[in-house]
Amino acid sequence: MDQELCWVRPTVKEVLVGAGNGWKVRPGLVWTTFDGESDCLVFNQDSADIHLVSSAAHVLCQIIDECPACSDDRLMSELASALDRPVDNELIGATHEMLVRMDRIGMIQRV
Amino acid sequence: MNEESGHALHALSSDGVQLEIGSVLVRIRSSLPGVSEHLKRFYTGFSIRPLPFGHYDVSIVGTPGLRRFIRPQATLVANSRVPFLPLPSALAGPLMEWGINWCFGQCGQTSLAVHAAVVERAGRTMIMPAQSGSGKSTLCAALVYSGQWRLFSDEFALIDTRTAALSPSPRPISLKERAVDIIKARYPDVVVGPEGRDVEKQRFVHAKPPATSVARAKETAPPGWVVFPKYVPGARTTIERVARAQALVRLADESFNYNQFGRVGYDRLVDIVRASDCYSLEYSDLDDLLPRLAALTAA
Repeated sequence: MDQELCWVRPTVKEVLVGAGNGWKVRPGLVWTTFDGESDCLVFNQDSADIHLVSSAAHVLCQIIDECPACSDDRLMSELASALDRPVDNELIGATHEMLVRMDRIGMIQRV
Repeated sequence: MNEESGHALHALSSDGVQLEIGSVLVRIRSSLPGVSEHLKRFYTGFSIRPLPFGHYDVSIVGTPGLRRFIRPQATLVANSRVPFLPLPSALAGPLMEWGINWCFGQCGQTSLAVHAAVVERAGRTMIMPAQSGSGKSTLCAALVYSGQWRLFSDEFALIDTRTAALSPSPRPISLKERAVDIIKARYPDVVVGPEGRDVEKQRFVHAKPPATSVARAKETAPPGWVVFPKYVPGARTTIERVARAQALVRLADESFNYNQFGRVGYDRLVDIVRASDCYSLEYSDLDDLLPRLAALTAA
């Protein structure tokens, strides 16, 4: 179900330069969690796609939702605080990967 | 379909015969003898309902002209569409089954259809989603012919989009390749049709659904278990829990019409996995697997 979306894809320039410094969560996402499970489901009401994402991605989306203008550095700092771990290379790399993936599958977009 | 209603088959080549399969009415029309033989062999115990036309309209049409005499063919017309290329007329009966499958998969308006075998025990259903060739129908047949489980379907989980209850649609079970020999040897009294080769050149037979399942074809049941089976030759039985989130993604992947229902379809799949214990299993030995499944689902 984790398919490439063909709508609202950013241009190369937008990706390189960025339309802005922050992110926003796209509207119409339905989050589902299950007792005792760390992974979450995200249902995109626009595309009917279902995505399986980690609990860390869920937390990251909540942070973005609360702070849509936050820079990536600020997001990483907030995420590290929420997960109670330092901002190290592993967290920076993982956060970047999460942002790229969530952007690609239409969960977040640059603002 | 009893002896009396067997006379109704005379209408097969004109207005047609309307079968009641669970809560669905399917009109069958054909002048090909293979279709009436198929109905007589497999559909005793099914009710025939008067026309007018119900939900699905399936016609198996013979080749016109000289082609009737040289390699005659049968064409499926399902709800005014021709979904498949013509097949040899010897496959007219199985083609009717594939036509009904096509209707269930494509035309459902009120049910979410998932490619899965479904059986019921003690008032709860076990949904077994899987690709063709995974051993799903073998396991389904073994469970229902053991007398311990009720057949809902070997092809479709029909999920009510309001309640998430499963609706039965018991019909002949399609057995392919090794499953033909396994089930014939294990349950020699089960009525099976002639062997054939399907469009993928796989050897197959149809096996008659248990009469008790047909008699209870209107009794829906809630979900209880979602099991992803896989037959692996020589493998020892393994049963492992699957996270509900992962089970839902796999269920959605096997759905024929999930996109048609959007949020409602998603919500019902969530209901299904919340109400179910989810497992994946590998097996090769039914004698080992069946008691384990009985114990697992009795707990």
